[in-house]
Amino acid sequence: MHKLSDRRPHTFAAFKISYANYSAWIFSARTILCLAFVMALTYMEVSATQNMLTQMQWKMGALESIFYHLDYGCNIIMSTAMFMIMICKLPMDPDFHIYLAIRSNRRKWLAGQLLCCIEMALFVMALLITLICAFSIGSITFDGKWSDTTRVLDGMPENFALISKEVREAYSPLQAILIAAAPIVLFWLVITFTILACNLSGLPTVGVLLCALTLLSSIVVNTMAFSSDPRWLPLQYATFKSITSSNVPYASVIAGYIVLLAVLVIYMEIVVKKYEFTKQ
Amino acid sequence: MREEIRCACINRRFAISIAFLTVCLLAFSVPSRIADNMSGLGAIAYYPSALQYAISPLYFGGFQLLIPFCAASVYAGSQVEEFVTGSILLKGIRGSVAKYANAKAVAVVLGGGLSVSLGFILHALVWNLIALPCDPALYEAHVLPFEGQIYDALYRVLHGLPMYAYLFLGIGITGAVWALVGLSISVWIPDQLITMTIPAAIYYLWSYGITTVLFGFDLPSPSALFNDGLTFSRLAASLVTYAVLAVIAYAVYAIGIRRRLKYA
Repeated sequence: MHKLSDRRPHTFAAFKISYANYSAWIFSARTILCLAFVMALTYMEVSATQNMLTQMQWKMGALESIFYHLDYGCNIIMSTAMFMIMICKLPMDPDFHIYLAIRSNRRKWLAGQLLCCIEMALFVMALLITLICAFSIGSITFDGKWSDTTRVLDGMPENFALISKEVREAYSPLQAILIAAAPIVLFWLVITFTILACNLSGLPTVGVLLCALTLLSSIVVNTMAFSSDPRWLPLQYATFKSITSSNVPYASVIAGYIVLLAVLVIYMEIVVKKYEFTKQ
Repeated sequence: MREEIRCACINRRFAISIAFLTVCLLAFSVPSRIADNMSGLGAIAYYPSALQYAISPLYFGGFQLLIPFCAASVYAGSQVEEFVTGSILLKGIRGSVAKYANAKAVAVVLGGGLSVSLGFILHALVWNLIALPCDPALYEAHVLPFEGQIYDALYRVLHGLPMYAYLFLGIGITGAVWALVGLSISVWIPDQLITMTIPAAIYYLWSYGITTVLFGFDLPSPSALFNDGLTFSRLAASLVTYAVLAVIAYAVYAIGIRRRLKYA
């Protein structure tokens, strides 16, 4: 095991490490290819909505359109699968991470990795939002109101509304986007932190397998055979729509995610002390 | 070639792929049986047949998406390993490029196709041990709505054996072509995970009609060879599509491997 320097590292060492990892990640062939697939998947989802809006001769607000797609995760299974493939090599690039570790300390190095995980999840979410906006440009208006509310006032029955009355009454479109994006980002963070934790523990296959099984369980298990939606499927807590339909309070789901992430961070703090930095 | 085929069919990944697919199929069919038990169907004669339990995950479950993934994971990744270790050059020296490419492609096709087919057959065997074998002449509950389809003539005889045989072939061809797609990807992007997942992603986009959305024409569903509603015209269209895909995949692979072996 390499003995790392005891000197006090630079204050922004973690940010520098995260930036180095992030640039290695974003320019890898795997990431670019997976992002291209995320783009295609989003296009398929948005074009289906656009067809429906064209048939109904309806328009949606830009923010409303983003919420509408994020509400059900915009093909959460495939997007998450692609995200998982992009990040499964964490910690990034062993070629230079040994030098990053030598110039800081293990704690800063781990903080850099965690920051990079957050950046990756936020980047993919930002890309998803941008793509939804770009692909639905033909059927959106640029006002910050709920178009369903206007249509209901014009005499449209409430059950025809694209977005539920509870959401429209409780939140503005911008607030709704944040609320819908939060569980998705947190779900992705749990995946990245789990993979990172397993890789730091020297069990790289276990982390990827665990996350793959989490995803696969929702498409492989026959949920139709159950009388109600099975609560034990992790994807039930990945989107705003599934959370609200599961009758579990939204706040407790978010709290659950935060506790899970905190546990993973504490675990990584412990295992990183014994992590062996090797130059490949 | 014999050595390549042996490596493709007698390895850990081949066994894992079969076991994984069988478990995934059971994850769909076992809850169905539990639900049937709980709904109180009564005597065993009123339960669906072994054939129904065996084929229901093909139509409704996520099994379809796993076919390209599992088929490509069996041996297509070996190409990446050969690039990384440099053994491709040693193999290339011992024969012609065409011979190497053909041997690898045949091994990948056989390994991928057989693994997914055997996964299905193993699942069918399990259900034939648990449930009543299909006999629509004796049990009304075993009659399936296959009027006007190829399956109608197949499932009524020999407890559905011809249908199992056809599905073995249909799933096998599907798996074989997707394994070849995986191989053609591996030569251009030498990454094990990409080799396994990109075929599944292409399959997914294809099955959700990306050609209709982007180019305005319909292709037969990638699952048409083993899915519900199979007619002779659909079968022919699907076989032609898969043949074209296989030729393109092989050509892409052959060009890539020639380039790699010539310029190392």
